[in-house]
Amino acid sequence: MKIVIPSSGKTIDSMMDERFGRAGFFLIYDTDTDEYQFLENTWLGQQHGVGVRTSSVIAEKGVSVAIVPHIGPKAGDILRESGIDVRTSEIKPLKQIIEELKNG
Amino acid sequence: MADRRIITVLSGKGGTGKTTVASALAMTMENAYYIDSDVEEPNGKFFMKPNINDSYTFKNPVPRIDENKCTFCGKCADGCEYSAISIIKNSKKSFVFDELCHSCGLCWTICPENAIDQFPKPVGDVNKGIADTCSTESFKEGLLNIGLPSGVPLINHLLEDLDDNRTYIIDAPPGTSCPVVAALMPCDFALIVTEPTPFGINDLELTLELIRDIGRKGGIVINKFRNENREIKKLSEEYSMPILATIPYERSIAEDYSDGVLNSRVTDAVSDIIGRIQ
Repeated sequence: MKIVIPSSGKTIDSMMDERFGRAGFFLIYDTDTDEYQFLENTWLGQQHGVGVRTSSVIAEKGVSVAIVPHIGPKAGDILRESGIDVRTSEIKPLKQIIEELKNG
Repeated sequence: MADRRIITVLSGKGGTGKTTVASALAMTMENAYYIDSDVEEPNGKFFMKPNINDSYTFKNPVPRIDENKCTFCGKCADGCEYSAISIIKNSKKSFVFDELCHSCGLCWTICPENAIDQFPKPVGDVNKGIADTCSTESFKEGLLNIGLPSGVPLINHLLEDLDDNRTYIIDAPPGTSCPVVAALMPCDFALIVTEPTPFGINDLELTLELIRDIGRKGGIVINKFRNENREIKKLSEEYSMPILATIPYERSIAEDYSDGVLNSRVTDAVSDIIGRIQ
């Protein structure tokens, strides 16, 4: 299963970012193979509609779960309507979130 | 075009007396047309007492995507400067966010499948009429619908198609952001109403800066005036925008104001400056 987590940095030791649409990076992690990649958020400079842009990109990445601290209404709509299960979590290290997810 | 004159009355700080000065100007100048562009809270009608004879809802086109025709190519979403459209190719979904749309028309112009229709979205109401002191149409106001993020489209609509041979007084919204810029753009002269308080003076400077940046002539009216204020004088000199009039801080003016009546001290002060802003 592929998941996405907004990340404050581009290494696996980073913390989850406190926002979704305006997160600095996105971790896309495959829990079956432990392969992962980081996407940089290139829309941050925009004043409006950043959540729309980033969630549209994420929705094309074939992830089935998004783990977010908080998500705006537009970005949330795009992810959910695209069939992604949007779950909320406290802000934690990425590794810990992945461990907890794997352990059910 | 030669005889058209547009004066925008603005202030930065709210409550300094924009509507008081703008309506006094409109009522004192011959055949002037008053436009209330403070579309979030238009209240010039209380002074102007217009007889409203034309009301309509102003609408702006926003896209509606026909998912039967759409091939989810994403050209509209990629091209949209305001991220008002999202196309998800994987799941074949389209999203339109009306509140981000600026009605520029790019999406329905470039759609290769002709799958985007224009939906007229109500923005607000416009009321036109004849002011108390006039015999022809001389008043209009816009009232923005609740929940909309920007009054700019409605303000721009109020300010388009102005007659060539007429004087217009635009009552601007408070602040120094986009709606104020919209109310300022068509003007020949910017009349700033300020008050001698730290709040008024702070916002006066922001307003002077805005007018200078846009490149308009301007002047200052000091409302609630008690005695000469050195800071306002200094700003006036620094920005080369003269102090044209003062309206005294007086109980009788405030009492008339609360009854929706323009005190004669106000109209006297304002009528003195007409020659200097023409």
